[in-house]
Amino acid sequence: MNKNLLRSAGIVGATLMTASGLASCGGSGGGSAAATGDCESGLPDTIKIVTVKDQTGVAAYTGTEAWRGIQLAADEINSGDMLDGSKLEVEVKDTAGDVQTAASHVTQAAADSSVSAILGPVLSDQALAVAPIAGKSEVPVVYTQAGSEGIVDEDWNFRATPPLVTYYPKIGQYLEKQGATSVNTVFAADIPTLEQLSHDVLPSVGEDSGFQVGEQVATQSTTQDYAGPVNKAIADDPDALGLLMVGAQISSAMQAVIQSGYQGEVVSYPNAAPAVAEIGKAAAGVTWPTNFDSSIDTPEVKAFDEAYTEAYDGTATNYAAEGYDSLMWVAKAIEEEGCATRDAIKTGLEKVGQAGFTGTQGELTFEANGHDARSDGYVVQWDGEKIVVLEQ
Amino acid sequence: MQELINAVSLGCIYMLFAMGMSLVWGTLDVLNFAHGSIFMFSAFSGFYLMQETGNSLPLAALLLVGVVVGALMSVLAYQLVLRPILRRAKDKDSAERQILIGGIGLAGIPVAIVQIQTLSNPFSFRAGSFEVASYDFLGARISNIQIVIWVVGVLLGTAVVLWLRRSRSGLALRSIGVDSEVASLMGIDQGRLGVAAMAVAGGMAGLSGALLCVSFGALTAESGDVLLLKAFAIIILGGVGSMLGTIIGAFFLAGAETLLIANTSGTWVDAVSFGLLFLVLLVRPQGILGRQEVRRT
Amino acid sequence: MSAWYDAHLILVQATFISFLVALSIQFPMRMGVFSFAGVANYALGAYTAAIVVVRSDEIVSPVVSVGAGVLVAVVVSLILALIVRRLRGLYLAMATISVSLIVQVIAFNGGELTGGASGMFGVISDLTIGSVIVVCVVAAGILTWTERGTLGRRIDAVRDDPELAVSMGINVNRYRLVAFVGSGVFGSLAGGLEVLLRSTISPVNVGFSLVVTALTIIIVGGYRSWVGAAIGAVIVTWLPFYLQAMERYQQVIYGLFVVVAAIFVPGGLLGIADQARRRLVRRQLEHEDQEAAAEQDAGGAAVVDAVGASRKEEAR
Repeated sequence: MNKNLLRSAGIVGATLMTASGLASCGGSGGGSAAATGDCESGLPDTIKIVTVKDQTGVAAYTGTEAWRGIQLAADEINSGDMLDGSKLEVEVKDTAGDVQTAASHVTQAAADSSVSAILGPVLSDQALAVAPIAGKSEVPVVYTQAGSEGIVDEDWNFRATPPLVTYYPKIGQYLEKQGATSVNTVFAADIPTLEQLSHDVLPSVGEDSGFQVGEQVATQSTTQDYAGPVNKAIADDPDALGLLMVGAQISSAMQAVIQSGYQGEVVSYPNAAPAVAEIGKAAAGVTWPTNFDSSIDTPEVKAFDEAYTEAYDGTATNYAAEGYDSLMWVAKAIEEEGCATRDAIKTGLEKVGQAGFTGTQGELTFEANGHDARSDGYVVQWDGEKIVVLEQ
Repeated sequence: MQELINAVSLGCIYMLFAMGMSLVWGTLDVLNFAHGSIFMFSAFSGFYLMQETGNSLPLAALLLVGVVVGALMSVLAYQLVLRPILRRAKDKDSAERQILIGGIGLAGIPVAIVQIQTLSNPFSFRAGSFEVASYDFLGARISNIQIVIWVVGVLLGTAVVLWLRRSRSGLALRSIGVDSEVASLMGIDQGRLGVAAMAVAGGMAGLSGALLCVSFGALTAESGDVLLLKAFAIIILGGVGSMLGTIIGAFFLAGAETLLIANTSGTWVDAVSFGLLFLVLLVRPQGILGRQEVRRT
Repeated sequence: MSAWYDAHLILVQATFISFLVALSIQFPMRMGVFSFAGVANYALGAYTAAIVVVRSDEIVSPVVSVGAGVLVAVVVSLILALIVRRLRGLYLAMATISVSLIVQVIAFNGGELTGGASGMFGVISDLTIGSVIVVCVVAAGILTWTERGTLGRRIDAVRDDPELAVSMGINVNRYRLVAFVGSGVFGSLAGGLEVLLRSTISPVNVGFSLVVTALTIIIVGGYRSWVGAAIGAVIVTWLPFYLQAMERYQQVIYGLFVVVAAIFVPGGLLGIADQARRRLVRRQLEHEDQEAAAEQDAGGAAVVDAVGASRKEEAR
C-alpha cells in the first residue's frame, strides 16, 4: 500500500507503542522462557502472543480491525478453556505504517524468549521485511492481509488470509452470468496485488468465463483525479469495468464513473465496501468477490458477527475475521501439539494447515506445505443500501 | 472534448491550490510546506462539523468553513512559526532551510490529527445537502461541481491577479517581494501585509480543499501531500513571483497529465510533473514568466 | 547488554544508515550546494546492490555489490553535477528532488530488472552491522579531515562567500563537483548497506519521505559538521521510540518538536554546543585584547588587532 509522500516527517526513525506498556526491555522479560523450553511439562499457565500491526498511520483501519478480531478470538479461547487451563496473553505493537518499525518490533518480540508466536503485519512491504527475520530467529509469524508474493516463501512464515488473487476468479461466474464479453479496468499500478489482478488474474479468468480484458488504465496511488482515467477506460463502452485502487481513490473513481454516465457492470474488490456504503444508492450494483462478509450465512460467521457487534458495535469486517482466524489457527496448533514452544507451534500450524479448518472465512485449505491459506470466496454486491451475497 | 473538460477542471484545481503558495513564496519568501496540510485540514473541518453536529450543510457553508479554517491556520502558521524563523535567520540560505523544515514539522501535525480521527480512512462531504449531478454538454459530460470549480477558478484567478496589479496593497506586497528592505524604507507595513497575504493563501487552500473533497468524492489525511509536490512544479514552471505564470503552469501541467493518461498506459504520469520541472529549471530557471532573480553565485 | 542489543538491533542499524543518508545531504550543504540528489543516490545504490546480489548465481561479497552501487551513483552524480551547474539555492533543491522522484518512477517501471511495484526481495548477504559501523567511522574520519585546517576554511569560504573564494583562487566549481560526488558516495553506501541488511527494497522506500527524513536529521542536529548529522540521526531514530508513552499522539508531538527546533535552534543542537564554546572563547579573547592594547607597540598592535578581529569573526 502506498506510503504517503511526506509522512509528516514523523515516521522517520522508528515508532513504538504497546498496548500493555511492555517494550523497552524485551530481552530479559520476566517469567518462564515458555516459548523456547521443552514440551515435557505440558502447556504453561500463560502463552504470550505478540501482534505487530498498524494501529496508527496509513493502514490504521486494517490493523485495528485485525486486532479487534484477535482480541475476540483470545477471549473465546480463554473463556472456553480451549487450551486446558492455559491462557493466551495477547498484546499489540503499532507499526505506524513504517517498515522499519515493523521489523524492529518483530526483532524485539523474537528476542524475548517468553513470546511463543507473532501475528505479523498487514502491509506487504512490512511483511516482506519481517519474513527473513522470522526465518533467522526461528519464530513463527502468522500474517493477515499481506498478499504479496515472497512472504510465505521463507520457512516460519504463515498467512491466514487467502491472497486476493486466489479467490478473485470467483468474479468470473458473476460476469459470465451477466453475459459480459468485454471488461476494461482502472487500477493502481504501484500496488503489486492490484496490478496482478488487472494484468494476470482477470485475463486468465476471462478465458474460462468468456470475456476479454481490453483497455487497462494504470494509475498511481498518488492519482487523485479519476475523470481522465475513467473516461479512457469506458471510451469503447465495455460490458464491465473493474475498479482496483485503494482508500479514497475508490470513492473518487466511483464518483467519476457515476458522473460519466457509464451504464455497464462495475466490479471491484473487498476494499470497495466502505466506499460504496458512503456513496449509497448511486453505487448500487457494484460487485466484488470477498473472503468474508458479515451477512454470509454460516454458524461461524453468525457467532463471530454477534460477538463483534456486542464488543464494538457495527458489523464485523473482513480484517477482523482474518485476525480472528489467525489466532484460532495458532490456538489449534498449540492444541494439536500439546505444547507452546516456537518449534511446536510451527509444526502445529503446518499440521493444522495441511488438514484445513473451518473459520470465519469459510472452509480454509492451505497451500505451500500448510503455510498459505486458500478459500473459495464469495461474490457480494452492494444493492444501494446493504451488501448482499450472490455466490456462496 | 471530454479530455478538454477534464483538463480544464484539473487545471482550475491545481491553480486554486498553487496560487496561494505562489503568492506567499513570491512576496514573503515563504515556501510553505504546510500548505497541503492546511488544504486537507480545512476540508476535514467541514466534514467534522457535519459529523459532530449531525447536520447536513449546503455546499456554500462547507466552502465557507474551508476558507475560514484555511485562512486561520495559515495566519497562525505565519505568526507563530514562519515569521519568527524569518526574523531570526541571518541570511537568505539559512532562512530558506529553516522555513522548509519548520513547514515540514507543521505539516505533520494536522495530518497526524486527521489520521487519528479517521483511522486514515477517507472522509467525504456525502452527508452534505449537495448532490453531484452531471449533464451532457456538446457530446461530453460535465458535472455541476466541475462548473462550480470553473466559476470559482476564473473569479479567484482574476481577482488575485487584479489585486496584485491594480490595488495599492497589491503593489506594496509585490514591492516586498522585490526588495523587502527598500519596501520597509518606503513605509510599507510588512507585518500586516504579510498576514493578509497568508490569509488569502490559506483561504484559497481551504476553498480548494472543500471543492476537491466534493469533486474527488473523498479525501484522506495524506491528500495534501500529492498536490504540494505538484504545486512546486507548477510554481517553478510559471516562475516564482508571477501569478499569471502560476496560472499558466497549472493548466500546462493539467493538460500534459491528461494527454499522457489518454495516450499512454499511465504509469509515467508522475514523472511528467517532475520531468517538466527539471527541464524548465535547466533551460529557463526563472520559469516561463518569472523575473530573473538577482543572486550572488 | 546482548539481550538489549538483540532486541534493538533494527534501531541500531537504522541509526547508522540514517547517519549515512543524512551525510549525503549534509556534505554538499556544507559546500553551499542545496542538493537532495542523495536520495536518488540512495535508490541507485540500493537497487544496484540488490540487482547484483539477486541476479548472480554465486554469493557476492558486500564489497562488490555495494561497490557497484557506489560506482553507478558516482557516475550519475558527475553527470548530474554538470547538467545542473547553473542552479543555486531552492532551485537546485527542487531540481534534485525531481531527479530523486524520477528515479523512483523509473524503479516502478523497471519491469523485471527492478521488480516493478513489488520491488526486490531475498537480497541475502553476510553483511554484518560491524562492517556498517566501520564504514561510518571511516566516513567520519575523512569528514573530520575536511572540516579542519586550510581545507575546512576553504570549504567554508566556498559556502559563505563564493565570490570571495573565487578571488582567493579557489576553484569553486571543482568543490561543487566534489559535493555531488560525495553525496553520491554517501547516499549509495547508505542504500547498498541498507538493502543488504534488510534484504528487500521497493519503490516506496526511496520516495519523498526519505528527503524529509534526511533534512530533519540535519536541521535538528546541525548542518555545519558531520557531528550534527550523527546527533540528528540518533535523535530522529530513537526519539519516536521514547515517545511511545504518547501513544497515538506521538506524531503530533514529533511535529511540534521539529517546529520548535526550526524556530529556536537554527544551527541545530550542534549549533547550541558551538555557541556555548564560542562564547567562552570570545570572553578569553576580549581579555587578551585588553592586554594587547596595553602593549602600545604600533606595528605589534595592528597585527594583534587583525588576528584578534579574525578570531572574533570566527567566534561569532
